[in-house]
Amino acid sequence: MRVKAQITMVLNLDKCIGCHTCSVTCKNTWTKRDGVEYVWFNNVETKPGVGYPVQWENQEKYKGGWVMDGEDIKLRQGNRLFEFINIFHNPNLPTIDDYYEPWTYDYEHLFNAPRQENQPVARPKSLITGEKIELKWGPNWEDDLAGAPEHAINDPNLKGLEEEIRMKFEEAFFFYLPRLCEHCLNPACVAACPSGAIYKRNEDGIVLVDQDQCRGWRYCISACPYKKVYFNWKTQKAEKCTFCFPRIEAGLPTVCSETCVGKIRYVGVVLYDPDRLEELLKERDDRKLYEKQLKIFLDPHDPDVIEAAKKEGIPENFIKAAQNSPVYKLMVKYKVALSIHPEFRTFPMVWYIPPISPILQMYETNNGIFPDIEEMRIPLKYLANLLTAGNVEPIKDALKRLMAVREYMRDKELGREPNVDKLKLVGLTPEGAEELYRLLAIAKFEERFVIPTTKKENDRDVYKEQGYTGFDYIPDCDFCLP
Amino acid sequence: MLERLGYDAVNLFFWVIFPYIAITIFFIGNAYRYLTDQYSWTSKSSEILEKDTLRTASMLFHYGIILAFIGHIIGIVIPKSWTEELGITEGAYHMLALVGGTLAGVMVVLGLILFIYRRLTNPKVKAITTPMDWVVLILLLAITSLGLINTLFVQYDYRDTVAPWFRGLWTFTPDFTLMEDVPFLLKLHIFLAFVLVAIFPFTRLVHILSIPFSYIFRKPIIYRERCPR
Repeated sequence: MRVKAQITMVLNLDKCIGCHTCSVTCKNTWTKRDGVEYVWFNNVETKPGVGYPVQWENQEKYKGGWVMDGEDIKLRQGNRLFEFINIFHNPNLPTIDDYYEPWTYDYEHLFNAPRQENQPVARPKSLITGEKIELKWGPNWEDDLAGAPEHAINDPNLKGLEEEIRMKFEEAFFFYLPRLCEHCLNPACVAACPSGAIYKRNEDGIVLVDQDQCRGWRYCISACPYKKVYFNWKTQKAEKCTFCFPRIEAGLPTVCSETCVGKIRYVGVVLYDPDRLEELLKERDDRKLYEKQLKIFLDPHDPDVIEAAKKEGIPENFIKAAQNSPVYKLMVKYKVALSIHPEFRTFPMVWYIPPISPILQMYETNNGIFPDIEEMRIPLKYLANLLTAGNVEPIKDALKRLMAVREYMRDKELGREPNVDKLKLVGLTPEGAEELYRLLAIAKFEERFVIPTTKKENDRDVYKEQGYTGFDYIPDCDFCLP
Repeated sequence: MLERLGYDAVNLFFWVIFPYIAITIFFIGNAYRYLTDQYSWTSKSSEILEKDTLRTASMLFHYGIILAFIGHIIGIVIPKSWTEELGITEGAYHMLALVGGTLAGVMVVLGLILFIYRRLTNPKVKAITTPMDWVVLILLLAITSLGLINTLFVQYDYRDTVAPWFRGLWTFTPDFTLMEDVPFLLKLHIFLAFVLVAIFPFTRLVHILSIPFSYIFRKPIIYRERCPR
């Protein structure tokens, strides 16, 4: 057994209100520069919807992620020979129109327009060409199902649900899906980079692009099944979410997590065994991959794990953080958080708690123990296609647990006798229910974010490193050190 | 006598001094840029903005130029005596050079014309094109069309003159008198090629030096220390 630490995020979709605050604060911090105007390291999508870039989940189109190839797994886009042959033109690369052409408005005109009969208008103009453009698509064009009857039907997650598609107003459903880099345990972008410029940090598993080493071969962009590596058209290099590593190193949550209005995000450490990666990834059945990924995580309270972790040089404060990890509790202990598209076989490390939705009026309520789960407005199958490669059981279990906690706490608050047997049915104890309730509903800052600071005492040259915390590659930056 | 001296001086400049200046700039310039500014070291791809025309253009150009590069190695770097040793007759060599050279030349020139057309007609690609991109494109077009013209119409036997002169550059025994009787169009081809060598470190062409051979052997997932000791 080997042990590695991974900084991990869980998002509670049940509480996401789709306000885009995470996206905006992230953009202001990281991508407010020429060449990446179109780039959102964090974006919020309305689901069902085709997303950003359009149909990012459709791997027939983009060939992202990994697939089983006989006894082995390989990159879907092709092997190393394929990459060499096509290095002059990557056939699977999205173009800017798959994202959107970035624009601003001609605000000057509002001031400079001559006296005229009609009000002057600030027309949109492209941030690439500077020419006036007609807006036809944007990063959140489908907010709250806007235009859904026309294009949301192309959402790959609706596969198998076409028959019961509920696009009629009374039956429509939607929820928000904030997306960022998954900082995968088996990152396809890293494996696809011909230059070896993308790497996974040994200490915390954050996946970064070495800006000096990147040569702009573009394979990371097509290889990432989540389409979360972007091409800066001005510097002609790849850029991606950094998990705000300068903040993480200082023990602070990422900008998107800190500024989240709904307090839906959790950041913490999990320990995993990298030696088991290959064995677990080679599962033929896509639908079992979520459970396989669960098996890679190590129990931070197990003395053997602790000893092995110490042997690997994992600092004491990381082990402690793993033991108090909110994400470990949500993912492994209570299994309410689920992976996203495990069938891409990258073992993503940003997980989601599925949303509870209202019961559809059209069904007559029956009297089962959990009558509501199947009749929720958001079809279980849809959530399963998104989070567990179509396996409905883990979704059902997670939603049941969430419902059981609600019921238990409601009884308690109203002075009724809580039904402990019902908790038992979903594998919870009263203490467990209370802990989940605290985590999900009270959600104190220090309970949502348990992030160990990175020890820097032994760094080569601490003086030289100051000011280098992620901003060193911004050209013409006047506050960065040379 | 004086006339002869002036004539020699010109030849000395074009076929000894200038090539060495160009080669020096090439090595020092690339090394300096690599050590001080790798952030700008990229293939400068614009595929994200336009990929349909690019597919034909880029595949034609790059595969053509690789073919042309191999051809130049065979024709210039490898001495005539070696190929004759291998039993390749003058006639066979000539056929190979004519067919291969024409194929490579046509591919490259077509690719370049498409590149230029794309940069002029696609507004997004046009907007991000730098003056240096134009210098490189036009210089490449001039060099490669001259190469094609030389292959097809001049058909000069460079293996007894240009080739030994070129090899002499690398053994520090360049003999410019070998270049005296070379046709003007071929001289122009060679001179412009050395101009390209001289400006190489300051252009996008540096990506040629970054062919990712190490990718063939490396492990798929790379882990790195945050701050390596």
